[in-house]
Amino acid sequence: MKLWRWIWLLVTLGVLANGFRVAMFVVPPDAQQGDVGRIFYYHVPSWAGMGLFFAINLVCSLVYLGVRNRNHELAMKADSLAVTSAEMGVVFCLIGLVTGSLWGRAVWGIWWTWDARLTSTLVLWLIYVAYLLLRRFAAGPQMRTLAAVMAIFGYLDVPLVYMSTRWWRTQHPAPVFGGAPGNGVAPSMMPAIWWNLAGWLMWGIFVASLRYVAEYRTQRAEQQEALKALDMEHVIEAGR
Amino acid sequence: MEHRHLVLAYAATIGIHLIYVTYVAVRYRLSGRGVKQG
Repeated sequence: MKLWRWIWLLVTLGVLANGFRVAMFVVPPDAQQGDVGRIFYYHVPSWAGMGLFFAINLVCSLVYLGVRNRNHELAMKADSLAVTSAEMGVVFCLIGLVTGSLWGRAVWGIWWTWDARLTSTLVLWLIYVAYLLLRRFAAGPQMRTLAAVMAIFGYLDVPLVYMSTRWWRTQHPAPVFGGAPGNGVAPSMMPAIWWNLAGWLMWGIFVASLRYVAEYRTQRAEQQEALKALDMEHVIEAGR
Repeated sequence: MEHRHLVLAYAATIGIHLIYVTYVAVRYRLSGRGVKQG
């Protein structure tokens, strides 16, 4: 692992440790929910991570479709980053769903409800799991193109998830950031949000950078193997 | 009661990330050695 990754990892772990300290011991408990409201500091960064990585997946899928016949190197990089960001987004989304369910059980008394926010989020997670399964099990040269097209259509669910609490009446509370007047986060809570947001996004970038390298190396090795096989075919043809 | 859910949420966050980073670390190592992966 390169030196900058070790430095990045150390800084990230420091930010996460301080985020934990601030979230659990520094900021006051929620006025209505008490200490269980501190789940917020892990729940929200997970959604931010999911939003960031699914957006990267969208951009990379568009780039892949745009350059796949003209610039193979860039296409391979875009495709590697697309699968990386989809996996990272799925991980963050899963954490958001699990922490949300635990929070719901503590505050609403139920693990799950089929309201618009929760349902659209579950559908979003399933779309990207299907994207990863397609990539894992489909074979042939069209697999990456199909995956990119699927990613673009899959991303259409993201704004739906984001707007669901504004468009429909939901069990899930109204948005606390950019929501209706009167909604919002108390200034005393903000340090815990910022530290955890920064820490988990930095962690996501660290893991994604490793995953990207692994994917790129694998795709490159597969490409070289295919080129070797093609060369062998030419040799056989020439020998006939 | 409320602390149980808070601890579980934190454990789930850490646990899921640890499982995924282990998978990524294995793939990273294997790709560095030129091992073909599925």
